[in-house]
Amino acid sequence: MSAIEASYSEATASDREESTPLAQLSIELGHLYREDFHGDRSGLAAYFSRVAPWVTAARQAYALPGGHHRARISTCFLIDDYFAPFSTPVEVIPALCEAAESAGLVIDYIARESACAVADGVPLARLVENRLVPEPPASSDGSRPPVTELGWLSNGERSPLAAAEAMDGRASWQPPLQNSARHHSVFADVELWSETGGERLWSCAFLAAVWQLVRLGAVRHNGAAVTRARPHAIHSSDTWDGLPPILQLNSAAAPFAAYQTLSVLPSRFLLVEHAVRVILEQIAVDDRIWAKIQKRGEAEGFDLSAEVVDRISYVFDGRLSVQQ
Amino acid sequence: MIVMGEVVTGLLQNSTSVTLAEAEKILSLRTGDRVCSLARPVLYVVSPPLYTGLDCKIGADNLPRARGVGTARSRAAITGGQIVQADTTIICRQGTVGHRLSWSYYLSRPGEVETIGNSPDSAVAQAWLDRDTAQPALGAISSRLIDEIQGSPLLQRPSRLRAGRTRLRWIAEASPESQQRINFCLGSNGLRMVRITAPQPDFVMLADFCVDLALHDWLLTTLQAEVSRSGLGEGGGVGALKRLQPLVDHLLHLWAPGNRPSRSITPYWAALESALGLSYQWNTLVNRIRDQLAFAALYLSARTQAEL
Repeated sequence: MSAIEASYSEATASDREESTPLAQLSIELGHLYREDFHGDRSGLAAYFSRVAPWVTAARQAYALPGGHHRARISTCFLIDDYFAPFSTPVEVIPALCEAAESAGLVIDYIARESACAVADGVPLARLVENRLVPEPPASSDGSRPPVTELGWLSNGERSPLAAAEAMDGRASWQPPLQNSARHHSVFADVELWSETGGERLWSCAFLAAVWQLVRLGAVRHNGAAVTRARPHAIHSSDTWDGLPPILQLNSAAAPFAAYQTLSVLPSRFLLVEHAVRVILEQIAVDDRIWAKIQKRGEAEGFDLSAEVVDRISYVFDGRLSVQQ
Repeated sequence: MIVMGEVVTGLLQNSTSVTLAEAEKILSLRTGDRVCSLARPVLYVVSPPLYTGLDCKIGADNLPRARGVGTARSRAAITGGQIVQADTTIICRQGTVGHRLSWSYYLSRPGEVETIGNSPDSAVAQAWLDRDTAQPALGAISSRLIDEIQGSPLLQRPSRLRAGRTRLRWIAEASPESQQRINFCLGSNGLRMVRITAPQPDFVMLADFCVDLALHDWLLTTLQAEVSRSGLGEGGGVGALKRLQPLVDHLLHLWAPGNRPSRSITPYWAALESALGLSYQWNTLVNRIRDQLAFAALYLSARTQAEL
């Protein structure tokens, strides 16, 4: 009789992470803030007519190798209900959809900016904050804990606080230093949040970083997916918080999350999105989730970068503005 | 490619063993990441991995030293509700560019350090084991992680036992020869050094093995120190046995080398036991305590009889 091979395992010995459906590309058609919305739909229509050619170009640029199958591309639009909530869903959403339709675009998903802070009871911003691994300055050998300034993140060494006094008695400025500078520095110091009376207000840059990670399907809470896009009757609530964090408008849409993201934005967002890049370059996503997503993409024929920031692309168009 | 690590082991500062639920809360170092656990043969609870950025010199003093940039990977674990460990490792690879890249490059390879400039693996390995203050300071990262856990508000001091910390510094390298080797060196001030060479090392398994080895070396070191302090068998009498009681209560049942679900560390334990006889040393001490307990019980019984 041959020997019996026995093995033992325990369910709690390793953590299983939930897989979520993924599109190949998520296209963000814009952000809407209070100062942008005047209820006049012609401004919105003009905005989308300028966005539309970029979407057409994206469909071509991100087409599958071989181009035999229709690519899974979904579109989304972000509305601010965190810093300055404005108007009502039933006033804004149909206006947006009509304007997009007039330019031949369909908005598949509408997301609320406050969802990037907390979505369905899950503190997304806190989850992402916990994954910060700040860039070490030179000569960081681990012997001392990393020096961090609460609520701020930089890409290098800040100017020294006690600047040396020059011969004439005035303090002389010492430049900061970007960690990965080649010959010259571009130093950035980003505010991640501010606190007033114990209440934390996340910065636009930090919420936008969370937004990108959610769009890439890279966030889990205790192994489970963090929020599911779902349909909901927009007239059922006068306030934005009566709607799901991510509202699905198009039942035939490709999944909300995707291997890669593209955002078409007015040029004025470049500064914030640079700050997003500074943040995302210092976030360690769960490497098992990330490896699984990468494998899925490769199985479909995509050559995906291992770096989070390389999955994110932008079109910054100086002509884009919804203001009339 | 080489893998370097340092495991720090100590006693959890709690008056009793912590339960599985308590250990999970203590090790939930990052919201939203789950803590893993094994119930058998001994309760073993391990935290999610944490990363520390590094940019420092590595390698030998007398050779041009390479600069290493990347992240160290750390985990904390509680065994038997009593013993706390933190292990920090880096996978060290030769880089191909002459400058530091963007940080997102290094974060896409978590737990890896790439060298800028030339420093052969053998020089890095030797410096890691030779120098008192090795760079990078993986032991310091592990020690701070243990300090953070010991500072948990969920713990109730004082512990009934007093025990020091030990540090096990290890390195594993691929070698062209087919013979797998493991060398264990007992250093001073609680430092142990382990060097492993194999044709195709399984670095994940070897990291697990070194954590398990560090745990059992700590148990043996602690038992030896306590027995020596107690005066057992040196006329210490019942008093010596009383001093050893917390050890008997809390630690004696935790000896289970190589008993992990992944049996691939078994051959390494077998080789080490054959050369070092760690289990033999442990059992000798345990039997000595039991023999003294038996004698004490005999004398107590005889005295009680005489008084009746």
